[in-house]
Amino acid sequence: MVHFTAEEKVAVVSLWAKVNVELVGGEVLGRLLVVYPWTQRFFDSFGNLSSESAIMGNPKVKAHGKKVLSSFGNAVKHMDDLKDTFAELSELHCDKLHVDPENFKLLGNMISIVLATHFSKEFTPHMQAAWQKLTAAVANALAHKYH
Amino acid sequence: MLSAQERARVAQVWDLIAGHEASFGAELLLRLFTVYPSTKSYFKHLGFCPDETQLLTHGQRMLEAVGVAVQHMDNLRAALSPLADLHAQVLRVDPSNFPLLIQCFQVVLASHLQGEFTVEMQAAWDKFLTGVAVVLTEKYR
Repeated sequence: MVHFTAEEKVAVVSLWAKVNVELVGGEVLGRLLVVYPWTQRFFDSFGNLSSESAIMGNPKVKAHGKKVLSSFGNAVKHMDDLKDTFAELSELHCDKLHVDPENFKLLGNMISIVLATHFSKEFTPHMQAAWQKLTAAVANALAHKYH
Repeated sequence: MLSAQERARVAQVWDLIAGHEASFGAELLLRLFTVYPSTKSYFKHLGFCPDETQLLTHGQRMLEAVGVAVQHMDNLRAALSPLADLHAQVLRVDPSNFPLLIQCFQVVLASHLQGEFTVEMQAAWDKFLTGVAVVLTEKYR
């Protein structure tokens, strides 16, 4: 089980309070689909993904990005209990969605990059370390029930 | 490997950081060591807690090499050959570490350039740095 220090928890929680989940979620998913185009394989039903602007402006991408990032809100609330918190989602991603867990790491990395664009200097190395630790732990929790 | 448009975007990003190789390089290394402490194993000569001067010196060296790569995007292998030899014979940095450095590089760019670090620039820069990493590890075996 991943252990977060008090400082790491404060860093994560304090930044999360300022995150516009709808805006950041859309950007994170949009950037993932542009920078790593093979991730589009999971989103055939999303309509127009033919260009960078189409992807970033796509309403389904924005909506789904918001949904994905909202579940990170749950992670922030349960940093000591991620495996249980994400058990059901893990089963879903394995059994129904068939998503390679490597994608969770890519998404996690993208979250740090987008947070950096929004928070700039406030996204210090220690802040980044806490967030990357959290996203890596969520990625592991989401992969935990794979079989 | 990089389209003309991607090369233009790589050059665009470089123009925004050229002249700041030392400070960007130092921040890059600081983030690398903070987020991925195991990477410090390659920098024993900088000590357990590298000071600012060491980070600036080494960071500048690394960013200047990136600058060389930017100037020779159409011929990375030739331009980076001495560095590829160095990494293969002397440094022998495990290839798994390059994505970690690339991630930190993206975060440095994102935090300094913010909205100017568009998705198109990120995509081009990520592809470019990944290409550099491939060249630097190509002679490993």
